[in-house]
Amino acid sequence: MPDHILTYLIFLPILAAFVALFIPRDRAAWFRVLNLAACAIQAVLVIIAISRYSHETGELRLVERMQWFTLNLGTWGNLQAEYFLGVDGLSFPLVVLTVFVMLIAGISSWTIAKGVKGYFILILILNAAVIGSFVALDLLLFYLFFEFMLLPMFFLIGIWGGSRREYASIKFFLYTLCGSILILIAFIALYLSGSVPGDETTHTFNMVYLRDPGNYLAGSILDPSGSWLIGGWSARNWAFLLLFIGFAIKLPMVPFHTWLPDAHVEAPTPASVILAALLLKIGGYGLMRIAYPLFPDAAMSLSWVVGLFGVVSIIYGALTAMASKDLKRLIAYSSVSHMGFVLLGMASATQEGVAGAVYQMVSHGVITTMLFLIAGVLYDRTSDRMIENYSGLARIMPAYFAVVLIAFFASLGLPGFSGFIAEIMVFLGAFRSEVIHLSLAVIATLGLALGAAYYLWTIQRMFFGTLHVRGGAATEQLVDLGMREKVMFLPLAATTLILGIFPQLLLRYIDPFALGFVALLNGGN
Amino acid sequence: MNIEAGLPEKLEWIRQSLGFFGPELVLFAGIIVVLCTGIVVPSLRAGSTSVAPLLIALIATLVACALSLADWGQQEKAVDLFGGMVVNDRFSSWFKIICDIAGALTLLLSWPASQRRKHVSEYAALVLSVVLGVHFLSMSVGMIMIFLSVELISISSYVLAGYSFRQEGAEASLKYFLFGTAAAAIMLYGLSLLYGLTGSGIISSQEFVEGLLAHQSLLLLVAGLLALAGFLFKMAVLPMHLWAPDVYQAAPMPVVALFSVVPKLAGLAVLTRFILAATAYGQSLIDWKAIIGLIAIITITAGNVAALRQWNAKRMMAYSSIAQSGFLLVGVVALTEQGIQFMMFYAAVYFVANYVVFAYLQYFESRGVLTIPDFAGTGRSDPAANTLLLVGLISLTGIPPTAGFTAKLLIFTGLYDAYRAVDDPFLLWILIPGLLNTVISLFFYLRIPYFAFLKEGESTPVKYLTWINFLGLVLVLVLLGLFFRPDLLMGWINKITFVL
Repeated sequence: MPDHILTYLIFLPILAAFVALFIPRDRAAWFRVLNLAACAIQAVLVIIAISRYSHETGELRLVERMQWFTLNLGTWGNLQAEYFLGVDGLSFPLVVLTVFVMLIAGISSWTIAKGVKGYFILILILNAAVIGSFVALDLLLFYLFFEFMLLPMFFLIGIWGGSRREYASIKFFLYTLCGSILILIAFIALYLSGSVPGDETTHTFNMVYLRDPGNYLAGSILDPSGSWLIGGWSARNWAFLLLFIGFAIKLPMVPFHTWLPDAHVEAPTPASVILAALLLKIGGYGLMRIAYPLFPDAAMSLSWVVGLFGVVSIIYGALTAMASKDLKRLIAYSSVSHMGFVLLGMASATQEGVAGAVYQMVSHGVITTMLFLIAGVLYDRTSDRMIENYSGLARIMPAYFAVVLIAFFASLGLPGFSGFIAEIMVFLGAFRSEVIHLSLAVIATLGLALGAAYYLWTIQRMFFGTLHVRGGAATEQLVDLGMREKVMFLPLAATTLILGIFPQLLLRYIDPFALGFVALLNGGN
Repeated sequence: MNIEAGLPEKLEWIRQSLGFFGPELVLFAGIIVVLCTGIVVPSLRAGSTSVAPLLIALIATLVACALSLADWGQQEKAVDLFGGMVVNDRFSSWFKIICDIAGALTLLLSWPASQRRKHVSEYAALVLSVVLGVHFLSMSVGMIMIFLSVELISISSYVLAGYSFRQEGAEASLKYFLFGTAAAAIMLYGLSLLYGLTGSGIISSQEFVEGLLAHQSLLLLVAGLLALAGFLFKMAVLPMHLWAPDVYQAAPMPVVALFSVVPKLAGLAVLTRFILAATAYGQSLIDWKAIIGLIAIITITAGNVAALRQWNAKRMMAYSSIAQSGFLLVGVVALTEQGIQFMMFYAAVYFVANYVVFAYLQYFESRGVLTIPDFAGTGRSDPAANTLLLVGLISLTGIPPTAGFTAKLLIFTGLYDAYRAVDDPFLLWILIPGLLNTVISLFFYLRIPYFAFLKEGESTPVKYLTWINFLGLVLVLVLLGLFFRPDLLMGWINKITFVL
């Protein structure tokens, strides 16, 4: 059994979704238990995986590899797609994060009342697709899972969302789809140009093969030594740019971020959690797994663009968050700001920066889950998330206030929380980097100050001062956290603290990956 | 062919050739039997209902399909029949098999409505005639044969288009008829010019190709374009597409499904043969591939953009099928053995996805859902049907995990391959509008699921275990299966060889 852990992780939710098809639709509790059971078994599998994962070197673990299909294309050769899964220091922490967040999101979903059957089926499909995206090492397989995330999320926002859900879901769909078309163009070019080592007639989607410049056909579009120019620019630069924009939309990076606040504001709380904690990570993951390693030459020459847009996202996201009146919108923009650090760390092309970027992805996944649950708690009680409508909440909701303090301080990068470790490493990398300009790193530090500003200001407005609630809700509606909610928040708060105090727990996985990543980039320079 | 051959030799050819005509003879017999049933069975004559004609026609298509499959094993190389007028090869068998299955599915879809429909036996006979015409057209290489087959398909189609026996049906049928007759006349004129220029009436013959090469003139270009007009009309490709939206909107749903696949694929088959001959193994001065490429881009774009504005489901599918014709033409543009094989894969996938969609459109139409906003709320009451419909629409868009994605990927691979072979940047430029159109098409393909699932509406729950859901599930499993294992189908297509 342990030989196929990754396969089980992917197909367990699909199996559960299939079982759910046959449960009568009025049995809401059954679906909750089914989803919880699937997530719990996944958690057990992940614990087994952690125990078997040796983290000394950066190579792939838990590899599963099978032929998927081979198409004979006549004189053109063969098209080979593989069922190729594996994890390393980049994807393994994200897989663990996925299982963790899915478990929490599943518990948070108990408040969903309408269309429970369809809801949980979509959540389970999404679960499988996210894990699949993180572990697939074949471009076609990756693209399958990548696209598979789109429709469930579209329906989750569009059916279970707020008042402007239709607008938000369509916008989300179109942005993401445009991104995936750009990614697809690059994938097609990759498979047309790359081949299996020792067999020039077999075209492959295998990411590991495509990392090796020797596996590109001489004279093909993406041949590293070729002279393919489109508009005076090498085709490899173009392909990198396509992947960069495609994944940057998902990340999201300013100026492609406008779908995110709308989607978040309208999405139901668990969907927001999954979207922010996991789906955004696919953007960063795609850049670090596909765009950078497959095009190290182009990545190094264009890294300053990545860094520049990273800094723009940090500052712009923070400023917009400060101006947001809706608590959930504020959190959404803070995500834009924090994902900018991922770009900056990656662009620095240093050991610390890259490790910091991965750390930031995991840390943001945990913290943002808390943040969206916090917004959800308020919305569940009063159906109102306007910051200006609340004041002095600390007095009547002490437990809630404690959770908010932890989450906000973790998010603004207070030492002792995981966000601090991630951001400090990104800055260490950015200041030392030879690829991006020093001024970028200096400007990015401003993002920390802005982050502190909007969080502290929000706390001051909502929790301090005289107690009153405006906008139609009554103070009596604001009851403190219940048992189920505490059960959700406790592990999240503990995780961000543990990761903030013992970074080595996570870094020992990430470090070998970051070493290999930087070596690959410098080798290609 | 030896024109001077005596009567006994000619009779001998005909006798031998008939041996390769099994599927066509079965279909022909089916038409006669179905028509006779209508006359002989008194209940049918009196206008009351019976499914007997549909059943007989269904058996005929299935037997024809089985015989075409049986032919497959013996078609290692192409066989000329009837003095070279028709060619029996795997290329034609592929289209024949698809169209036989499409005919059978059309008859199945006609089943529920047959109680309300008049003249069932004539209806079944007309469907069989279209399928028979397609059999002929996909094998035709002689100009006379091409024209006759086109007319056999057309005349049957004109009548079928008006089979709703309503005002709009009659109007659409007349429109189709007038347009079709003009297109046929134009095609005939073009073919006659080509015959005059080359001295051969058989487009696959050496004589024809040499004749073309000897007359690389403006006249040849005009003649070729005129001939193309007829094929493009059958495929509903711009600028010969005007009939499609009206006919699709007015005709009964099974007939629309038939029109969207069967004549289109037959037109595609003969167009491929014609372009193969016209490019004269790459020696032609006239760049036919560029012409087809241009038509393909315009068709894809115009079809998609026009579909965006449609709120009637059938009319939207009409423009969708126009756009899809453009994608099929992209396979012809590549004009390599692989390119054409990929086109045939695309054709098969398109056929399955289109039938899923039309089967469900008919199902919803029978429940009073005509326009796209009418779908509001049906996602809640009827999730099974809407989910299966969604998979069909996703396949038409070309998103994983459906075979539509694989088909588009392969079509574009073929284009790139052709580009590598001849280094013509124009081919690469077709790729870009092709991919962008995928995004546009998503807007209207997903409009039905959008209304069904996201908009609130009045609806009452229905039961899942219906024959339409069974049919839909089978077709959807084919679409999903061909994504995960495209080699199963490509393995067969790879066995198709043709002379380039």
